[in-house]
Amino acid sequence: MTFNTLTYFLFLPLVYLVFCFAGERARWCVLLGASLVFYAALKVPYLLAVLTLVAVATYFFGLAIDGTAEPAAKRRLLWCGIGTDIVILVGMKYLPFLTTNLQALTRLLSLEAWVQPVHPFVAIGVSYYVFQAIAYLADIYLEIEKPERHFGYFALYLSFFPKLLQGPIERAGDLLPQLRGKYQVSHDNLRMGALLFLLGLFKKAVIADRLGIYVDTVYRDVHAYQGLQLALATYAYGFQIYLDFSGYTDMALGSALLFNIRLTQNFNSPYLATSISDFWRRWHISFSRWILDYIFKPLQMHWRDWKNWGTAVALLAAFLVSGIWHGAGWGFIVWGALHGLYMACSVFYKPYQKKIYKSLGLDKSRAQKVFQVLVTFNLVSFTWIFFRANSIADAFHVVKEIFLDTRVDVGNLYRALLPFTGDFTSISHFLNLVIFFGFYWLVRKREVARLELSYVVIISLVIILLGKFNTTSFMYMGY
Amino acid sequence: MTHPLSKGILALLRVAMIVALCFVLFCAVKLYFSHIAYPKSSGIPGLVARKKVDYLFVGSSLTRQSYDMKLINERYGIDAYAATYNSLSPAMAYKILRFAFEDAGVQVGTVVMEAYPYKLLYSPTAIEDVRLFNAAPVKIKEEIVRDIYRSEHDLRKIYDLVVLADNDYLINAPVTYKIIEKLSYNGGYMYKNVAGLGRFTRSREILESGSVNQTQYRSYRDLAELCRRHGAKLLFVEPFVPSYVQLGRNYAVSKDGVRRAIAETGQPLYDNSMVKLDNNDPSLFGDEIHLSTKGRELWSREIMTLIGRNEVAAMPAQADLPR
Repeated sequence: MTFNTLTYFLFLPLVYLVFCFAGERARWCVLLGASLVFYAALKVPYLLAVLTLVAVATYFFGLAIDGTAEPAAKRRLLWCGIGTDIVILVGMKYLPFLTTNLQALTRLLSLEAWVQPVHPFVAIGVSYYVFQAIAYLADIYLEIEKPERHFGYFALYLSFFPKLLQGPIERAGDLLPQLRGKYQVSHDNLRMGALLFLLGLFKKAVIADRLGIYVDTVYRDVHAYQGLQLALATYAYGFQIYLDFSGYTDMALGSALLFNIRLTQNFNSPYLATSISDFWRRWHISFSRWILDYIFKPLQMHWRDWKNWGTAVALLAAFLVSGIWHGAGWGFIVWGALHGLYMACSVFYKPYQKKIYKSLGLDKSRAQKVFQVLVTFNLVSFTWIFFRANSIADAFHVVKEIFLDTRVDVGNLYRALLPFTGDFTSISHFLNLVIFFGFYWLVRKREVARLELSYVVIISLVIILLGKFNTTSFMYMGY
Repeated sequence: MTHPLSKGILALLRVAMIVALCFVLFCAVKLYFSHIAYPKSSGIPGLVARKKVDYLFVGSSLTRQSYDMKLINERYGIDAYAATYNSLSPAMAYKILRFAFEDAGVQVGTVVMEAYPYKLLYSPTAIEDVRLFNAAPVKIKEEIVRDIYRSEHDLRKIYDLVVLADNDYLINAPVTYKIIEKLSYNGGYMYKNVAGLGRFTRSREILESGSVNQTQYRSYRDLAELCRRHGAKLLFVEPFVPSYVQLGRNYAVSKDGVRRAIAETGQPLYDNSMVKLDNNDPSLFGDEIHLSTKGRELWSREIMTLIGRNEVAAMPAQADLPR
């Protein structure tokens, strides 16, 4: 069951009604039960077992860390807890990748191939709640948070269904008090929740999945397309992944708001970022905050004697982890490494940046901002090639074609759009995307809570009549 | 005292009512007026607008991309038109032709009907190219909906067709209409250049599964009867496809069915063995099944020769004639 299915459209109001009419003390049970049903609806039985394992282990390690006074024992418990969570994550997500590459290595070294590749598991949601569990343990260790003593609330904190499959990665200090709070019907929250859900569905079903038609066609067989089409598909993918993921987040935020729970907003116009570091303050915010707090900062502290070099290496390492977190594949590792490289370079470039813009007479001008946004957008788009391509070889082919194939047949320019449908209707698909983007831009500028009735009606009709509902999964669900 | 939820539920109901009303209105308008939005340069609207055609090519995208309508018109002096929809089956082609002859009063000299064997395996209500439904007059639409309901009771299919199909096009029809008109010629394509392949990217055969559908089989006879009644000559042409497609297991079986169905009509079937083109030559194909510009030109000439039409000398334009 995902947010863009009819089952969820029925499930959410049903859970809400049961929640409303349940007694105050039973509400956590309703939400926990709903979350387990939601997860079980994926029809992968072992996922519930994994979730239970992570919840039980983290709960007890949390209590143990808090109950120990001696720092060395505390640290041991912390590492044991984090180790358990990481072993589960690696086992679920990275074992097939590791065994396949180990086997390739043993073959390369002409050694006896003793490693057997493991079949991949379905690991939907695992990396999100494992990261949440690690953050929980670290916060208890650092005495930022007290452990949750009620196992039901703790399990709900890990598994709350609106954020279970794709985040946001919530901190215990933000979510647990809300889960424990007394519920009162709030018309503002209901309205805001419904509108956010609608807007998210519009982003996903109307724009992202429409862009996906083009992207999937081109990236399925990159050798069949020219540089212009590959470049268009890469830009389109950048918007597709943004609208897909932010659409999901809006729907998650909207769903949670029905229960008076405010989840972390994960996006803030990331493609208007003026630098890569600015991009990461706007893109997948809950995840980048996690990487910053639990990977980058400790590493930077550790290497602080190396000054700028220490910061640069810490950034590179943090983004490599970010890449690996996204998936077990070389494309993700290259993607993370590229972002790490951008960030590391910016450490050395930053002192000269102001001088360069000043000497060009662009300092603090609008042109400077536009230029920075364009450069950042293109740098990010370049990394998406490795993120999206089916293999590293395909990614390098795309890079080669985009930069070396400069043939542009002006008379046949419209053919660049053909991957949409393969014929003249490609033009209408492309024009509609332009219209929908324009409409989205118009809606985006308005305050969601004050959206007029006419907009709500138009958005609803567009979703019903023009939404693509043939894919039931979201892109970040697999990471 | 009212329940705290009642205000929210009422607001939601109000929005739902307005959306439902707009939805019903949209569906009605779409069902009865969508054909107006389609360009008169292709498909059924183009055929109905013409009234009189010497040669009418009817078929799927294979027909659309196999005949160079401009060449046929200018070099052979033939007023030809291609009424094509992707994956058009004989059963659907019959509906179109019957409407054109009997309701729209279109006069046709010769109907060149595509005889692609795999079409015999299709369900008679299968519509891959939804433009066929939306561009069709109300009478055909109603007939198609009725057929789907009678034979399959598939309400989901009807909903998809009536409510969802081709909305993308209908939103921006006025703009796309103009572009399509510019890029079409007598129902065919006017691509400047569809490059030929260096090699076939698909080496395996294209397999379509299923068995010969009797309604499709009978449609050949119905088509022949219809053309006879309206004084139109009918001939069947097997489209030119790469040899690996023809090697497909089901291809031979369905081709045999096509051959028998057409033999029963007493009309000629021009199959690939009668042309001098090599379907192992990838340069004749622009993709895994459709012809390139070069292939289209050569195929058009081959078929013109087969049906006994000679190239006429290009006539000088009126303005260039000595006064």
